[in-house]
Amino acid sequence: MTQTDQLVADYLARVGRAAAGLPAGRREELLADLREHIDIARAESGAETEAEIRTILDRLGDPESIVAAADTQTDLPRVPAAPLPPYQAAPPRRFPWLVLTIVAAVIGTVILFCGFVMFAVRSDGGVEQAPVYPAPTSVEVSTGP
Amino acid sequence: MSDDAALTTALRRGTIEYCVLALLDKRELYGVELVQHLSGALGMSTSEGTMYPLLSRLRRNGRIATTWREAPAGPPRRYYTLTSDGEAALTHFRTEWVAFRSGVDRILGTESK
Repeated sequence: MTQTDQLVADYLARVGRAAAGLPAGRREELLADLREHIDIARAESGAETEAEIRTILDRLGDPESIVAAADTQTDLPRVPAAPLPPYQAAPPRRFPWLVLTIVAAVIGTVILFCGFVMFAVRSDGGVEQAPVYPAPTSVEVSTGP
Repeated sequence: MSDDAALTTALRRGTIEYCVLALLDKRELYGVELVQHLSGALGMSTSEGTMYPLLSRLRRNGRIATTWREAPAGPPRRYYTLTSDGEAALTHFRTEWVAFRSGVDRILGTESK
């Protein structure tokens, strides 16, 4: 094996290792596609120096990115890799105390108001019903002879 | 992955396969030609290899097919061709794309004047 062949073999071995998690059929197909690409690119450009081979491999990209791309090419609709973000819990409810306080305040106000109104009505009635005039008799008695 | 790279990847994700179909709608191409056309047009000249998994899926889904042909020089080439399913998918995408693009352009203020 020449040095350039070795470069290619090393590259494909890296792809193979990165693709260990892919189903075997997909991994073999990927390796065959890349091998074919390299063979044809070499044949077309007559690339035989180490630098030329490296250029072909650099353009293919790093093995991990290629396998990452293969990972996303599933036939099924993609499911999110990460679980959904945890449900954002609503802030602790202060509602019972707040509402109770408001209700108590309202009821208190109503009671006070009613009490005041009843008191006022009774006072007014008292004034109307009891115009206390000094008894004329007593005046007459006092000014009498 | 930098933010820029992540953005580019996200933008390509839904569109690049239709670029493949559109290129093959013009004429059949073999792998090296196809990935070089795509990577040249989309600024992916250092990730040509990432397109093979995409081609593999399109083949499995019946949108493209391959045929071997002898070449005047060098090894035989495997040509990718568009199937009738692929053609239908491309036609559908063209309609969807125009509507989607106009919507995004209107929101972004990037309509061509």
